[in-house]
Amino acid sequence: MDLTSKPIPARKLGILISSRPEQPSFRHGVRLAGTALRAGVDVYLYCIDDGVLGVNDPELQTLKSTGLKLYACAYGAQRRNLPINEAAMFAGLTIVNDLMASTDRFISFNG
Amino acid sequence: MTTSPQDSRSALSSPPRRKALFVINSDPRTSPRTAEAIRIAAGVGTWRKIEVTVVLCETAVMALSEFPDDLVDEDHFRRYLPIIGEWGRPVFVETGAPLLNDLGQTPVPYERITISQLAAMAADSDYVLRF
Repeated sequence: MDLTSKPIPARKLGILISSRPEQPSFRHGVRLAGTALRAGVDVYLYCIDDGVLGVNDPELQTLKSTGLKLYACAYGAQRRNLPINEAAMFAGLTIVNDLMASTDRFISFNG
Repeated sequence: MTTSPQDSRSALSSPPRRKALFVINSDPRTSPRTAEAIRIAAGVGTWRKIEVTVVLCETAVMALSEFPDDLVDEDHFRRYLPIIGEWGRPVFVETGAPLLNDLGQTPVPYERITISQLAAMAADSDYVLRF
């Protein structure tokens, strides 16, 4: 049996960030996402609460261009008068629910 | 074609729901994080794919106040706590938390737990989210 020809299912990592972009935990979440992407993991990152303020973070946007699935809380953006644009997929809490239920690992950065 | 006992089990029963523990200790009188955490917990748990448990520690127990008028984003507590209450599990509060005796008639039932019990809950959960 040729095991090398059998496709290995991609692992999925969900990350939730609610901290402000200037807080260390925001950066920790972004760095984890980058490390996981480079290791071949499918990464889904959801910015919520104050985390939506960091959606345009240059490092985050670079990761998005290399495969990061970037989501942001539409409600949080609306409350902060942030534009709903192409920077992320703006969505509701059902996405957070799906990430928790469907990813192999889920980690939150709320500090 | 034969099936193993394991195959039969997986065909007949759905996998257990993952458990998410929300530990909230922000002060709802000064921080919007408590209300936001309650909103997130309700929004995630309402789909019933995840078993969500909420634990309020320290001054966060004020989220259960009968009169949340002075809390930041008090409408979140009025709107989302009843959703959490519909799941058939109490909201848990830290035994010995200050202000626990000032809550009045709480909008949802609550149960006191010790820090040791909280630690056991965390160990039994798939995810722990702290706000």
